[in-house]
Amino acid sequence: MIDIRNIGYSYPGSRKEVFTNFSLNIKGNSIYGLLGKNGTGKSTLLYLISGMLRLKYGKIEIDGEDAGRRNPDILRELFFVPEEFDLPSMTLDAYVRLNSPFYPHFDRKVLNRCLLDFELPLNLNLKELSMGQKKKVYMSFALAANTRMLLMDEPTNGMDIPSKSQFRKVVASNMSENRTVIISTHQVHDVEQLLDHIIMLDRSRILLNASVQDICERYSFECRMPGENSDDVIYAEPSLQGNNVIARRNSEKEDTMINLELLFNAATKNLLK
Amino acid sequence: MAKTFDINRFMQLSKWSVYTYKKEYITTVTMATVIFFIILFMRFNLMGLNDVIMDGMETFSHTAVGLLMFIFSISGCYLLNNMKTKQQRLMFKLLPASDAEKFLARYLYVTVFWIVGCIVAYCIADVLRLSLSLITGHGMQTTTIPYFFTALTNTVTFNNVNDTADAIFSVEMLMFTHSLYLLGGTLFRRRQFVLTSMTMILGTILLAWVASWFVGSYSFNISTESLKGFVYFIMCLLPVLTAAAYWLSYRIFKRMQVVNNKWINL
Repeated sequence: MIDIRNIGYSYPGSRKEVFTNFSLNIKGNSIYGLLGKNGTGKSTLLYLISGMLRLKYGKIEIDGEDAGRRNPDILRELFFVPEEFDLPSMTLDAYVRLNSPFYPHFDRKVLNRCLLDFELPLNLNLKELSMGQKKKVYMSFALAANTRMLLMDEPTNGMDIPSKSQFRKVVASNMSENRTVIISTHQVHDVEQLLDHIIMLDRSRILLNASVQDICERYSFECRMPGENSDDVIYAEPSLQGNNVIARRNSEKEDTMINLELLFNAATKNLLK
Repeated sequence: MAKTFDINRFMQLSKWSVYTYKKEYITTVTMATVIFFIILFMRFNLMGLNDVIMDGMETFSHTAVGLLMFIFSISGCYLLNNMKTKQQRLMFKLLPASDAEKFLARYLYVTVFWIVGCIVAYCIADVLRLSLSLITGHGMQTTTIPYFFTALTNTVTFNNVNDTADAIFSVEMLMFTHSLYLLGGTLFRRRQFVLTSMTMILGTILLAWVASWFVGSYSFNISTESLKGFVYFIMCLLPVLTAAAYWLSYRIFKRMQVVNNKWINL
C-alpha cells in the first residue's frame, strides 16, 4: 500500500540527512505505531508520505501513485492529523459543511459518536475550544472522514489521562478492515494496547518492523525477581517490583502483554534478533 | 487518473476559501473603508465650496480608479498570505484538490475578490461620509459614487483613449507588472511586496544601464521610426514575459512544501 524506496531527505538549509537510502513497506489494514527517539524522523516520514515534503531522492508510492504529486484522489483517501494545526474561527457545523464535501465517505454519525465518546457537545464553536478539545474535534473529523489512510503525529500530546483513554477507545471502535492508521509517537504507553504493528526508527535505520502478534509469539514480557532463572532473558530493566524482562517465549507459555517501552529500549541496544 | 482541474471541486474550494478566510477579508475591507472614508472626508467635507467640490469629484474618482489599478497590480504579492505558518500550509496543502485548482482559487481571491472588496469599501466609505454630514448638520453632500463608477467603466472600456496601441500597451504593462508581483509573491517567503519592488527597481536600473552602454558603444542613431519599431517589439514581448511569469509562479506554488527555505519558497 505504501511503498517507500531508497529515499533521502534533508530539511532546506540543512546538510544533515534525516533519511539516507531508507526503505519501508507498509502493507495496510492495521494500526501501525511509528516509534523512535526525538529527532529520528517519525514526523518527517509522515510528512513525506502525505506529500507535504519533497524527497531529495527515492520514491514513495501510495497504491502505485507517487505521493509527491499530491494527487487529489490520493489526498481524498488520506487524512493527516499533525501535532499542531489550525482550526478556523467558525462553528463545527460550518466547518463540517465546508470540509466534508472533500471526503466522499464522510459520515456525520461517526463524527457525532466520536464527539460523544470524547465527551464534547455536538454544537461547538471552534474558536472557544482549548488546544486539547480542538485536538479531539480534529481527530473526530479525521475518523468521520473515513479515509483509507489516517496518519497521526503525536496524537496524545497535550491530552490529560482520561482523554488518552478516550482516544484509544475512539480509534479502536472506528477501525475498519480496509483502513490503515499510522500513529507516530514517543509516548508509547498511550498507544500500546492499540497497535497491531510496530515500526521503530533510529537515525534512518529500522530497528524493528513486526506485528504485535509476531512480537508476542517470539518474546514474553515479564517481571522477574532477582535470582530467578535468566537464561532466556534478552533484556532486563530494574523496577520496584523486581526486573522487567524481555525473554524468549516458550511455546508452552501463554502470550504476555507487550511492553513497548521495554521493547524500544532493547531494540535501541540491538538486542532483538 | 485524477483530473488536473475539476470544476465542481474548484467551486467547492473557492467556497471553502471565502468562508475560511472570511475574517481576514472583512478586516481588509474594513481597513480599506476607514482609509477611503478619511480621504473622502478630508477631500470633500472639509472644503466647503460646492463648485470646487463638484470639479474635484471627477479628478478624485480617476485617482481612486488609479488606486484600484495599483492594488490590482500588486495583489499577486499576497497570493500565499494564507500559508504563512506551517500549520496554515498543512491545512491548505492537505485539502483534496489539485495544485491548479488551489492556485486559481487563491489567485481569484487576491485579485477579483479583493478588487470587489475595495469597490464595496469605497461605496460604504462615501455613504458614511454623507451620513456623517447629515448627522453633524452640514446638510446633504454630493456622492462621488456615480463619478467613481463612470471613471471605472471608462478606464476598463478605454472610452477616452483614441489610440488602440496605447490602450493595448497600457493593459500589457499592467498585466506584466501584476505578473511580476505574482512571481515575487510566490518566490519570496517574507516581505514579498518590498522584495519584489526592490528587485524590479534594481532590474530596471540594470536594464537601463545596459541599454545606455549598448546605445553609446554602438553609436545608434535613434529615430522616431526605429523607436516605434522598438515599442512594437516590446508590445509583442510583454505578453510572452507575462505568460512566463504566470507559469513560473504556478511551478513555484506546485513545488512548495510545508517546510521551505527561510527567504524563498524553494
